[in-house]
Amino acid sequence: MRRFLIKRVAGLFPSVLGVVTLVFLMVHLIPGDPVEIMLGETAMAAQKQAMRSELGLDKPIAEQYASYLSNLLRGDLGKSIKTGEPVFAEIASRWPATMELALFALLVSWAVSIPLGVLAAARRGTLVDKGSLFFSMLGVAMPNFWLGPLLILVFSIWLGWLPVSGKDEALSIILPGITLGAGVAALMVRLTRSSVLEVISEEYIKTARARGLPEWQVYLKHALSNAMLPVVTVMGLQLGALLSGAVITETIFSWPGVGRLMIDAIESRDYPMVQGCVLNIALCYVAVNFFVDAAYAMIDPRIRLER
Amino acid sequence: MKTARYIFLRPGLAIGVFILAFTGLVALLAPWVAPHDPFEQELLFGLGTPSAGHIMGRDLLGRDVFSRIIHGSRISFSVGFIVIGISASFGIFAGSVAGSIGGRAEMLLMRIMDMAQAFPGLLLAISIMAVLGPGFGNLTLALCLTGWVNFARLTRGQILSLREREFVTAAIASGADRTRLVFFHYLPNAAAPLLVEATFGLASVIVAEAGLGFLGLGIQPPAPSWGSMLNEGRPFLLIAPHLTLFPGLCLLLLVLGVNLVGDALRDMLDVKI
Repeated sequence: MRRFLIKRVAGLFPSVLGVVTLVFLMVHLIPGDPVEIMLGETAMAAQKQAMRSELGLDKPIAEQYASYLSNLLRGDLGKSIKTGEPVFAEIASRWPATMELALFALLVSWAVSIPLGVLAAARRGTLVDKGSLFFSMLGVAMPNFWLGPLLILVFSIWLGWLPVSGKDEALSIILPGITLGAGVAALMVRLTRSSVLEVISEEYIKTARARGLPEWQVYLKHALSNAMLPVVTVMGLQLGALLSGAVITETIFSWPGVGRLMIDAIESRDYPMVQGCVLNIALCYVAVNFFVDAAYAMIDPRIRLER
Repeated sequence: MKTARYIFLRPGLAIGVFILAFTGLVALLAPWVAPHDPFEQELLFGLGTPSAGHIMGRDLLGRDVFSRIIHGSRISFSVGFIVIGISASFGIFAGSVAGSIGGRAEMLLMRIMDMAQAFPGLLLAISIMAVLGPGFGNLTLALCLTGWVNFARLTRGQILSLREREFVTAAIASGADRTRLVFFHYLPNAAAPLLVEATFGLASVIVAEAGLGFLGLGIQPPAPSWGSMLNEGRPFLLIAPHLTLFPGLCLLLLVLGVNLVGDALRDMLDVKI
């Protein structure tokens, strides 16, 4: 296991360095003068010069890169052009909201997909099975930037049950959570169904049935526990994907997370903030994938032997 | 005849093919089938609800939503096909180089792919659009830069497994060089999974294009992109829900159609990706 982990950690370095380098290059790839774009054409020459030297853009690119890396190691992502506050502090204050939303969405997808997937497998070929597959197909095709407004229309505007946006009430998380989790749920229904169908023909299931166990126990105690490994892994990996989906969901529901912060920063051309957000989300994505991979290898020894 | 029977026997595939063919035809004939000019404004009738003359209502500027949706299908299709065409070509080329040459070239390409995949889903495209600014060219570039990796990984994986097969050994023994192996042995045998990947990729690109449009980072108004139409309709959800309902419904149907065709192709060609 230790060898596997060392190998995986070593494999992480090029990805992390690549992400950091690409994020660093963002400002340099802006067509035209980035300072003029950030400050506007009407800015005074002195103002432009001050910002250029504050961002270090007046130094050679290699020097800029070296100082970017050393600042990064100290947790310094620069200052926001819009607020003047440190980027790191602002992003750190937004992370809890994003994580809360992503975890809630994962919970929603779990709560919907596992019972539906097991039910579909248990009633294979029936209307329930076809219905759940239809739900899955529809959920995969449904863009979250349409589902979100639809949910607002029905549950907030027509029925008046849930808040339209923001994070002021306890119920505020429900609609963004469903919007973000629906796609994952749809994907997981299929996976749970096929995973349960795969184990249901195993010998130990036949033994459980031969012992006279009721069908619900065969499915819930024996089939599900064995079918869960791939399901849990994919769900873990989806947590990373949810982080990028959160950018759109947070925008729809004005959810005060990192995704919303990033879109606001793009609109106001606050590039240090954009860079900070992109870097944070990408690194978090890499880290989540690494931990899920490691956890999977820990549970299933075949994985670490294969690699 | 056999294909027609195959399609007929699978309702999912039949529905998918119908949706794709119908939307494709509408996109192709948009200027002739759209009842109104998609850019023609009638401010007095702004946010008009669906009526006999305007079956999907009007937007804030009084433009006909139905005509804009018809013209918007052209954007979805053109971005989809162009992006898939470019990213598949580049990805297949990169994957072929990595798989057939190996060594340092493979290592370098694999590291580049790792880097591109370190960004989740839309994030890379959003970042590129944030830097380069909105527009058709930049949008295509951003989506190609995100999309080529899957094709490259798939091609490389296919080549690595095909390399061990006997027909490849026989081709090498009969003097086939690397280029010949790639074009006459590897790629024809990897065509089925690549075709399935391209189909699902098309659905992802159509959604990504609309998603970027929704965030205001895609094709800019007045061009009738479905994503930007959804974005324009957001503030009027309470008084004009038709601005949100119809473009989203069309997007859902198109993506559903492409996915149904992809599912059927995967089953038909017995591909696991």
